[in-house]
Amino acid sequence: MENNDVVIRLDKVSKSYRNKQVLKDIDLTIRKGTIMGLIGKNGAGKTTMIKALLGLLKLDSGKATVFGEDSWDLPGEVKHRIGYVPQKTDMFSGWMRVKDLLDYIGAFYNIWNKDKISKLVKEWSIDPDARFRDLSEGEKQKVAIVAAMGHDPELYIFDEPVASLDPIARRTFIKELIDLNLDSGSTMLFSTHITSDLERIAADVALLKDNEIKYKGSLSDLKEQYSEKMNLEDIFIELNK
Amino acid sequence: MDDNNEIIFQIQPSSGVPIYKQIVDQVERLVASGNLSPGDELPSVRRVAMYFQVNPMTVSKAYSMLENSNILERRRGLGMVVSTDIKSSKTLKERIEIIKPGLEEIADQAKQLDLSRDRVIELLSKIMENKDGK
Repeated sequence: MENNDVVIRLDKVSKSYRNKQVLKDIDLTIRKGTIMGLIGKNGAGKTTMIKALLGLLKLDSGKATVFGEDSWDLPGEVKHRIGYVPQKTDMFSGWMRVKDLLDYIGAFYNIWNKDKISKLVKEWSIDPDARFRDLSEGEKQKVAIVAAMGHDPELYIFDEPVASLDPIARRTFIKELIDLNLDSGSTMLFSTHITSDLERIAADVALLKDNEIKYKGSLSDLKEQYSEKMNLEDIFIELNK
Repeated sequence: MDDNNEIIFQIQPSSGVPIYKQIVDQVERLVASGNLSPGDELPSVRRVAMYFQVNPMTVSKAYSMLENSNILERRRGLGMVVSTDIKSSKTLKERIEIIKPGLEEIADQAKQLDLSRDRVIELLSKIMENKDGK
């Protein structure tokens, strides 16, 4: 029987584009309340893995489940328990003003935490009257993050959420995630190249290399396998040699 | 549960030493030196996680390990406190053993940097003076 606290399970997931294998026999289990960082070089398959588990692309073989449901056929009820921030923010309508865009997205959900949205918009000094297309890349990313939080999801999936954010915004983001994890026991999976962020917030890490998971498990255990002088960035480089 | 217990340790997330271990080592040292006494409360997991902006599970792992080694105990309504059945402080010899690895590391670095014994000792006393003055 499926263990109740398993949120994400990938079971021998494989995916190729044309003849190029991107994911090969990926096994991964993420339990409730886990904050897991996903790392790997450009092209290692991070985005493909995230899309696979969200059912945004069809697997060649294997199985992906979220909250026990097949990713390829996620019921609406399960989708409402997920907050997803894609790498690219171009799925939003650029002509809309930020506040209208957020209201519009909110209309798709039964629950929409307006207080939380206003609080985040304020904290991140986002101009609610600006048109989305006029925002900088970092500001767009902030809006995308806020938009993914309004329906109080239990599972957050971020694909390089902070790539364009300044250090102050990144810290605000991390603080928000810790808050959410403490208050609601939310589960989080995020891919990033910023290992110093991951070292703060993630207790678990998965490293993709050559289409496979080269390491998965506790970040502390990983660090203990190496010299005390090596931080995660050093280990990342070492593992990719 | 909010608390105002002083945060008496430091965390460097980007160190090669895992965060939980940084906490365990420091609490052990603080207890060994008597800076933390039996019955003293520790800051809550929430407070430490928010203060340093680190994963709460990592902080609670450190506390659990300290609980398992009988350095801390869980008190209802209070959270974690320093164990009351712990020997109040370690002997001088034990405390010296704890600080030795750090000093050996300093000695190695001094050699590499070609700094004389006297200079390092002078610098160390100044640093210790400053800390005492605070």
